[in-house]
Amino acid sequence: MKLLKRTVKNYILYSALLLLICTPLYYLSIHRLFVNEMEEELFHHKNNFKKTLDKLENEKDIQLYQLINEEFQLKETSKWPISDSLFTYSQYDSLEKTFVPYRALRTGVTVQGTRYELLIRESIVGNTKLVTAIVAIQTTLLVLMLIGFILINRKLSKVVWDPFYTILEKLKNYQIDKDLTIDLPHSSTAEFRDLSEALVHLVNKSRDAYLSQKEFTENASHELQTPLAIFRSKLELLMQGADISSEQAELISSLLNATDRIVRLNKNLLLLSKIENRQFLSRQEILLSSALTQSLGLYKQMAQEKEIKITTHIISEIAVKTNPSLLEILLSNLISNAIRYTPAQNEVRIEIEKKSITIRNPGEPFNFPNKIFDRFNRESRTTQGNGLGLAIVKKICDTEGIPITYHYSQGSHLFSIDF
Amino acid sequence: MKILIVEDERELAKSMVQYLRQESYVCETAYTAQEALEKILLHEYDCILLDITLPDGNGFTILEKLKKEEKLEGVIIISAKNSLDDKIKGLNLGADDYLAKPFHLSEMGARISAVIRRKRFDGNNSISVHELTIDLLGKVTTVNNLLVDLTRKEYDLLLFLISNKNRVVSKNAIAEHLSGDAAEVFDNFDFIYAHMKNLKKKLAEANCPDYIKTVYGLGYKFEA
Repeated sequence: MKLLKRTVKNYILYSALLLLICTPLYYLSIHRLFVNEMEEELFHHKNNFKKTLDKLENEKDIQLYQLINEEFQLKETSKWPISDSLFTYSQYDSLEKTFVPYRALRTGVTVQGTRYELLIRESIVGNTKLVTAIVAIQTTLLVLMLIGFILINRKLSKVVWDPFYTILEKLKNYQIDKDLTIDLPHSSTAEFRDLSEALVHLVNKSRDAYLSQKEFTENASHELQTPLAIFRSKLELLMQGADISSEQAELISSLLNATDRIVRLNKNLLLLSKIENRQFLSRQEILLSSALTQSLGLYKQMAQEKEIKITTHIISEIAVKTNPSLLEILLSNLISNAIRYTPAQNEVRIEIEKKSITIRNPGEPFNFPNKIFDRFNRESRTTQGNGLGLAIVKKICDTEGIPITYHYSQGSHLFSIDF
Repeated sequence: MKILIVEDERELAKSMVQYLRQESYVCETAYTAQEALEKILLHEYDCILLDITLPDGNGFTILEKLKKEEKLEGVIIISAKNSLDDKIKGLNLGADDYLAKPFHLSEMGARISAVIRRKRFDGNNSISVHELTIDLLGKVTTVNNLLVDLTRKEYDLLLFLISNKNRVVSKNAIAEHLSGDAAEVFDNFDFIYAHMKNLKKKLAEANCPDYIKTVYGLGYKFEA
């Protein structure tokens, strides 16, 4: 759920709840106020009436008074004393043709020695109407306020949150290995400005760390070359000795082999960081088939020694625009990988069709097919390879933006690159 | 033959000198660019091994100086960088070859002998060891003027061994010399044994004495 919806949803829920609870409360309290007021009025009337009692001299006066003041009713009674009591009742109004509610006060009065029951009443129809009207207006006001609030909030949120979404979009698209810096919008909202600044700071720091780490790999590999050269040269000199026992020869041979492995590993690490550092910039239009022929030339002999047949099927010629060195490394690594994992007396089949090149070779399935492009994955530990060949392939494909896929089907490994 | 080694890593320079001294080379060393420039102006060399990164300057400036003085002896650039740009720049400035660290001493030996041969080229670019002659232009091997039909790899192998005459050449160096990076594909050096066997057989059939000695567990040595 979007932040905007979430906040608005809560506001609406709260407002609705408020409306539901407050409207009856409001109604009840206004109503109560009116009734109280009315009752006070009734008592007031009673007192006024008592003051005028002395002026009413006979039965006739009383009837006249009643006629003038409709709300007064006097009835002779034998019940005595009558205490003051308040009650509500309805009476049919023939004029309005409806039941009309009244609030009434019953009390006892003595006029010229005769005991009367006095009933003073007041219609509460007008009051109820007033209360209803007030509550209706209040409710309408609240609803209008709510709608207005939602609309304003929506509009405002779009404007206010706009920098946030821009920042988010920029962050999503940022690639630490490709983009130099990140350019975030300068919002007038303090929070977003702070966010922008913090993010730019974070990105720059991460990028610095990334760069220095990249540089470190390259520098370390470079620095290793000279001591390796010294080590190898000393071994070769040691080898020249006149009387080397077979035991010593074996030791030297092991050291030479280990040196070879370190040298290759270091070379590949260096290559990997050079690709990462984008040191292969120049681009050329190259005919894929001729690049393939060139790379195959290096491995033809090797394949022959292993009695592996390499067949190429060029179904359609394509030209690719890329760095020639990278293309050569890419193809060579894939070919050498194929030769390495193909059992003797089998065939490596290379096909160029439409915009893709496919290299297929039979072999045992890999134990970790998902990890074949990882650096130093376990598969390669079992063989002479240094575990970087396919990582280099992947890195080249990634930097050049060409997709590579790997499948294993019907006992064959299948690498496919789409240019 | 006089060789100048310009290399700031003393231990490496020492190894190079020691290896080359076993052949008929006279070696001098310079550890700094300044030292190298002085020596270049004073002496004539048949070959200069030049490290590109020196403490007091870039090897390229020495190369430029050599070009200006028209003293471009056979220069082999040595670099720890192994970058294509450096290689092209060096070769464009007149260097003859490029060797990336860490190299095999035997590979260095082969490159030096190739550079010197090319320099001394006088219409008769060939190497002879007694009855064995290798014509480098035609890439033809003869024993007592009789042709020995060698494959490309066998020829390369023989030339590599002769270029490192009287020194043990490791299987590792041979594998890299013959196949470069492609040698990685193999888990062992069996393919060298096969080439070697064929080469020795062909030479023996041509009545060539067995100059190539197997140094058990290590490699081979051309003894003459």
